[in-house]
Amino acid sequence: MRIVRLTGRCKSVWLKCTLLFLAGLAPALHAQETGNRVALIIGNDAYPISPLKNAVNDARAMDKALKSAGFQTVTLENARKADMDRAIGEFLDKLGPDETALFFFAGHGVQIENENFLVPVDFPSVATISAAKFACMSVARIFDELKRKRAKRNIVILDACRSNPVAAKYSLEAGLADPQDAPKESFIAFSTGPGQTAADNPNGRNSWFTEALADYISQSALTVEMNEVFTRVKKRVSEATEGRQTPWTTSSLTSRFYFQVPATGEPDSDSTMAEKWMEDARIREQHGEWADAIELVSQVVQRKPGGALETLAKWKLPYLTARKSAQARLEAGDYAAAANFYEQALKSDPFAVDAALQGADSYLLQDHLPEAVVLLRAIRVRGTSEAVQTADQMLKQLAAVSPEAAKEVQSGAPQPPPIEEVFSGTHFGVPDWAAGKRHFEATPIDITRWTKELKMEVPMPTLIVSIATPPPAVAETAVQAPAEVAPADHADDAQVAAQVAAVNNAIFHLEVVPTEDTRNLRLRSDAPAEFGYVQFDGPAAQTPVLFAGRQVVLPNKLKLPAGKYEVRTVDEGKVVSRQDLEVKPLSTQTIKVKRP
Amino acid sequence: MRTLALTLLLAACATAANWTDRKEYDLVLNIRAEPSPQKKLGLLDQWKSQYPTSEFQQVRLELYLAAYQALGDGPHTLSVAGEMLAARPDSLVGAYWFTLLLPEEKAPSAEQLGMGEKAGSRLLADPKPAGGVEPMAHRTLGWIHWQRSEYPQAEEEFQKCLQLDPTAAEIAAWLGTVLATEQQPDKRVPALWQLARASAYQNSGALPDGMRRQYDAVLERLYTSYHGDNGGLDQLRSAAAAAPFPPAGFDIESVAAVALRKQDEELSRTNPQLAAWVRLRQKLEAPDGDKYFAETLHNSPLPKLKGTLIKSDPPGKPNELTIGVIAPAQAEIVLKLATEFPNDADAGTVLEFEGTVDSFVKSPFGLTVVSDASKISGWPAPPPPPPPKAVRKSTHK
Repeated sequence: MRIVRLTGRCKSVWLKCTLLFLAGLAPALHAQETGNRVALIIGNDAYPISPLKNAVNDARAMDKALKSAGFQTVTLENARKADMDRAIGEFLDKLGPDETALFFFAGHGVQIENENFLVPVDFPSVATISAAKFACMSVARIFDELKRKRAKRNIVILDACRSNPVAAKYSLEAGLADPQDAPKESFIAFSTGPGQTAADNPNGRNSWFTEALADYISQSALTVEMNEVFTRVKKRVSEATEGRQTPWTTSSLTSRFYFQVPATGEPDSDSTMAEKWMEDARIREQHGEWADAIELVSQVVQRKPGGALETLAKWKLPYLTARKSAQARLEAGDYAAAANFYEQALKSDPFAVDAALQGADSYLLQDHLPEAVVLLRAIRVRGTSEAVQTADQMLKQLAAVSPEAAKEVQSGAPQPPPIEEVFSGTHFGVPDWAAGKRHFEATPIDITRWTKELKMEVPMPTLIVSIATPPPAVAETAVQAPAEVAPADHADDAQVAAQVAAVNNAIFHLEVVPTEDTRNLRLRSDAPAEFGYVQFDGPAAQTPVLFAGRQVVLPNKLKLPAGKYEVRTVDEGKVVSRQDLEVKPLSTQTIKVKRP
Repeated sequence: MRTLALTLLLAACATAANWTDRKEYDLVLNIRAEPSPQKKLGLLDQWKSQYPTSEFQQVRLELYLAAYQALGDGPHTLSVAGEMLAARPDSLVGAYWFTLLLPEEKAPSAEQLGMGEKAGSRLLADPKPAGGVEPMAHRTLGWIHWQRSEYPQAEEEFQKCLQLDPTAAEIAAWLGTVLATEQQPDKRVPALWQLARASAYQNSGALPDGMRRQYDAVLERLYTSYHGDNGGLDQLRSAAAAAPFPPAGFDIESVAAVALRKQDEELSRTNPQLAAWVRLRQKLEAPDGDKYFAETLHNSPLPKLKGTLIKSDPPGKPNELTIGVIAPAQAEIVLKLATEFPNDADAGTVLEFEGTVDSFVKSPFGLTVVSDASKISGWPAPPPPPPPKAVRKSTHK
């Protein structure tokens, strides 16, 4: 009596296609480098109304990052409409079917009637929405041109979602609209979601979005697929803005794209790719596509992703190899060899219930009933409820001719194995040191919230000569009125008092004293003061100077309200000379400093 | 391929653990076979909801942790690691992931910090910690102390971390930030060094470019504030890129030190006497000024100085003169004379003097010098004696 289960396999067209795609993945990575990478980058800051601070910096950062990723770049800063038209035309001329086209714009953008427009720096003051449309660059138009060029892939990145005067002027919706009618094979990224506005990062050199994007693109070791790059950008921007801004992407790309392609042309440090291969291998395994599953798992092993994934791949490979051999022998009618390979597969994975069933079939085809019963018993222990039912049915049929089967049937339902046996061969938990290290290195923690408040102010000693005063931030000391004279530094009153005392006590110093007329004039006048300058010159020009009871910083000139003054030279506490000084508006008087 | 840790864990929890029923086993088999972490999470949720009191809860947590970790989902991985530690405080897996991920928590609770401290200590207590675990544990312990504003302890942990892994530029950044936060004069230069290290180091273990630029901006701001300008900053960057710690004796001149140096240079050129006195006074007013006085200055001759008389005692025949050197009205030196002057001098009289240093009071500053009238110049001569009375001649004719 022979009990044979059907083992035939049907390979669907879909599977074939998928297989071809998977098998072709690595070559595709090489192939993507056959075409050029071309980028047009525009950064607009200099808007007459609501100028931006970072857009030009963003363009420069992207230029540098994209060059590091092999792009030929053209970068425009503060582009007028005509500049943008011309540059886009030239950009399009460079595109062919093998090219990867990337368009980046940082500046003001606006949605008008659900259509996106990029604002040039010479946006005129127009009265109507229609006129505004013509004054801006239409994103739809760029899409149309890209469609016409049929580049291999189009990447459009718009960091143009800041709140802006154009939108306010025409009471338009904030942010950009969900892009319509994008070309095939395109990837579109906005610095924030459609209809939302993004921050310009006023305290930084770049917008949050571009800073993160340029950073990730330029990391040569970050050989991850573009989607993964943007996933990281989204995470970083969202964290940096405390959830207020999350970049948005949409894609119709049918091929993977890597900003940074590894030297081998294959993402061997890309654990995401390895995971994908493992998942694909599992699908192949479920469909009995052993050779393809082996190839995929072998790729994972070769790429050494580390951690649990690598361990799983190494563990899986002998099992798959045994299954492939068993299948080949079974189809060749060599049941003994097939059974042997199924046993090998089961040694690699005792929970491979279908291998046990196939092995049992192989033994039954040779009339080796005791061996078949052993495998069926194993299924009753380790299999799922469904598999156990199948094994039970087979054993019941065999019981008539096999005492071993009869005995097994009589023994009742066995208990499942302990959980440690279920997970033997699976490297989970651990700690997975390699995964931890990867995470550690890939996720440096942003501590800006601590560093932004850091100060390192050094208390200034009380000096007896002014040369030791720290250089001021401005080249001249503005003096609005005697009572408002800027002190030597942003020191507190006590420090100022100490400095003045030091100067007062200095052996040699100057004092500038307004004459009574000038003081009275200043007190009476409500009109804005007119100013002139005093230049102190001579070998002792670094002599400390007091004005209106305070020491003033004198790298260059002393700015004084127009009027009459007396300059007193003081030595050892005594006034040794006096000079009259008349400060006229916008004039510079020179005082020679001489030691007595 | 069973790991020792897993074996121990399973052995520990499987001694009395049983399947609730065969369906639970089926579910776990499905979880085992599922390679997609996302789908595995769905199956785990199913297991959890259908078998909330399963005897395999610790294993389930490990499976959750592995799935979240595979997805790169730090917050959930941390949460599960916390659950593992709550259930089993000695869990190596829980301790590892909790220690690794806690610093990513933006607003950690006191409870989390306490749990992290125990987890980090648990890892360090392991007799054979795996490579990389020790610096990671010190990293997190330092971070915990930092969150608690326990800066010296944080500093100590980060130092240990950097000694074990000198390439950890992130730790250099943290150490630099903590040192700068402490606002202590002796920690400013080490802080600048570490921030320079974080921004300039570019080999294995370096921070991403964007972050390096951020730290460089912080460095430049602090350096300029400390030094007065950015002179020497490039040299600092180069030096810090090459070594995790500054060499012995390394220093950066502060803006105050620059000011004092320039003052000294100017005074040395224009008024060497005053320059010498300012230097002397700075040494006496330094924290170890008393020691300097006792070991170097006491009973030594004071170089010749010029000062302004503030007062003289006793009136008429003064033998104790109070002098201001830097400022005419600020008493600094008391001259005690072996022999008194025969007459008074006006306050404000400029004197040149020398003598032997006798005693010193730090605050208010005062130096007592034994001198003698013969060693003081500038004292006014005594008024001439009154002319003798004219004798009227009588003529007797």
